Amino acid sequence: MLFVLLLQPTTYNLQQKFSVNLLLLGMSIMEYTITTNNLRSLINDLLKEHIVYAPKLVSANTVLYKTIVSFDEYDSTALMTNTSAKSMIYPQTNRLFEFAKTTDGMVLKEDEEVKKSIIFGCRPCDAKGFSLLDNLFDWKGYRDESYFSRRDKTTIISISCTAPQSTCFCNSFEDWGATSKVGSDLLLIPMGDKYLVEVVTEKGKKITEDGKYFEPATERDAAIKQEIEQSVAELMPKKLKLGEIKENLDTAFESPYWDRVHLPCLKCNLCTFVCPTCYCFDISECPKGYSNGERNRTWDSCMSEQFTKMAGGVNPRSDSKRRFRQRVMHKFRYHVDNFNEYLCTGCGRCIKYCPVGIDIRRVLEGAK
Amino acid sequence: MEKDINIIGFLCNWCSYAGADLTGLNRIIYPTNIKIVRIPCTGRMDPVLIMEAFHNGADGVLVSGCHPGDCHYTEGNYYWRRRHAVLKRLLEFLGIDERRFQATWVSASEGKRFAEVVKKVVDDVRSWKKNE
Amino acid sequence: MSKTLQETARNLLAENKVEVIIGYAQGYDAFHTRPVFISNVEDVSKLIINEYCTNNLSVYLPIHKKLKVGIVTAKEQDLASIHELINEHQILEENVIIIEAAKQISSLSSELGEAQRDRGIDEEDGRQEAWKKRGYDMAVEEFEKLSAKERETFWDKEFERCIRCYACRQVCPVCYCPDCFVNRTMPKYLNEAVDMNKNKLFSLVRMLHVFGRCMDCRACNNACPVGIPLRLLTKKIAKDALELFGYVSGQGQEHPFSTFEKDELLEEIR
Repeated sequence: MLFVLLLQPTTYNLQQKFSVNLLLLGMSIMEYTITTNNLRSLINDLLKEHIVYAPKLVSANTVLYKTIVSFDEYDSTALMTNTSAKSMIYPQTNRLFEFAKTTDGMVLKEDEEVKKSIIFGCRPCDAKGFSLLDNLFDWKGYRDESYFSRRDKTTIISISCTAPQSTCFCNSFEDWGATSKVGSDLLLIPMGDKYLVEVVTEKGKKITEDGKYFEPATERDAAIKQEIEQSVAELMPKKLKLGEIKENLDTAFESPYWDRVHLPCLKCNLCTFVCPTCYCFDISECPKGYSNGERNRTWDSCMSEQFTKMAGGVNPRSDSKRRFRQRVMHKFRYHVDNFNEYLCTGCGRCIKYCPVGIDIRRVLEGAK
Repeated sequence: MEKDINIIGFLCNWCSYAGADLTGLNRIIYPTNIKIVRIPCTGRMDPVLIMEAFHNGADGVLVSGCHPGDCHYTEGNYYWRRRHAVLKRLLEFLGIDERRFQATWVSASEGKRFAEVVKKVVDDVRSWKKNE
Repeated sequence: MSKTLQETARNLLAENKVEVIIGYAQGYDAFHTRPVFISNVEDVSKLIINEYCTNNLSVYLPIHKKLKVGIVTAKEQDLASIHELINEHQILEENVIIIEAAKQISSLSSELGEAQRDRGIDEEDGRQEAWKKRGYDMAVEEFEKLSAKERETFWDKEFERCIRCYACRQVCPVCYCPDCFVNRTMPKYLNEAVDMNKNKLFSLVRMLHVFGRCMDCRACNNACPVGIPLRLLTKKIAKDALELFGYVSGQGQEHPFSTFEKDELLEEIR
């Protein structure tokens, strides 16, 4: 890397080399490198026109995606935020419109324009969650405007992880996670004091276009990337055989297995709320004073008793067993039938934060 | 003009509400900052209502009931006294200034006292608001 | 340690004294345990006991009240919770066999080891001592010294990130209401929309509901996925219960809110 800098000391030259590289490599594969210092400048530049969300230490052991005002607020040490990145694009409380009673009758006010934003420091497992949500919110001819108004204006800059936890299982999925590009616009792979940058989408390309901070990647960088991928793969805990699991689940609905496996579950909504893919929602009105109010779309959870409770008092999933089974079945059977992909990215948050330590990997492996 | 303070008063039906009535009948002048909500008994006072009042922008909350021993339901206000002690400390712990949440006893014949109580609460809340 | 526990469990099951044993098993890694339900003698080898047994298993008792249950307690507060549930008529004393694992173990972490429940503490000094022993440290008093504004800012920051997953409520042994006030729709106490004030309201009201019943078992504090220091609140209500009413929860005293004295708290409301 050092000699690259020596050979290309000025920005002007760098840009020249850029264009050459683009021609050589073609549009589909674009790889650059960026030094940590340049990354800082890049983010601080982007902050002028964008809202930037990044992992931020908010309290001891609690790292959450928050809007940052400078690069220094970004916490690069945390492997994973406590809650997933989905709330940046699919907020827990999503105001659909406001209503107010005036002398001219009821007036509806739609939400103001969404600002351009960037999710920086997103992990590939979180980014993949967005690609799953994209398919869902644009399904069978219906496109959810509320979701895509944010999605279209958000650029996701992921940073691949180098040291997985004991709860991670993203390697179980085909488009394996640690250096997976799915869902990201730009993927950064840390290599000591610099990052290898992979451009994934047009949105990502736009950021690299001015080229000021980027250098083209060399073959040596690509080799290092492979080494990193290899070493992370070795660190990953066990791999699930998802094909087999799906087959088992297909016939397991009436299985007595569920009678026992649900017992520790206390039916809080934690696992579904920290999950990057759980999308179930509820629509409710929130009154503001006597004649004003707003309509919200809020996260809901299949774990809660109210989720399926009907006005007459009938509840098809009234007991713990049915609700527990629903969550597992939805993620690894029903969603696969509909979309041909698992509704899970293997981030392991539901395992890590479950107050009673339910391990979905264990649940899946035992299902038959 | 600066927005004036708002105080929500939860008054028990049998003593304090009647006391407030008497204040009006006697033409005693007291601040109009207080908005009165009638409750059956202070023993029924739900902490949710108090929190809701604060969250919806009330500057202060006053809860008033019968003097101990005079409760229409014999002992409702004794239970309230215990719960109030806990609630007050917990609200303070959560950062609600002690001047903002007050409780008192006003009987049905104490119209004058009610006016004084309201004046005191309004002064207290104003002094809090000034330093805010 | 685990061997003795397993032996006890095996005997209980073999002699048909219990139908199910609720205990701890190895979690997803060496530092985590998970609750496990054992009803076959063959499965007792799953049971373990170590310093990572942090869950309060008594939360499962009201759900299994119709069964004869053997329950493993790893700390003093778990035991106190079981007694509280019996006092509140949620479970029948004859249906529960308590396996006080912590008492069999000497090498548990100091906090758990020290947390042996002292029976028969009734006198005032006894309570004060129990108070100190349970580790109510200075944190509450220090926090009270802050100004109202500082306290408000602190809690605003904490509750702003609450995702209202209700894990704190679900893991709480004394939060057994089948119909929690936040789930009611008539009247609707809490809107679905999540905002800081409503999050605060939920926690405050939950604290009032568990006042005098909370054993300070830390289950809610440990369960919170975003690390809200709920223990500060549970310690605060325990402190108030002691200071105002000389009440320590789990000792079988009459609950402070279900009784009163005519000449108390005279300075509180005037």
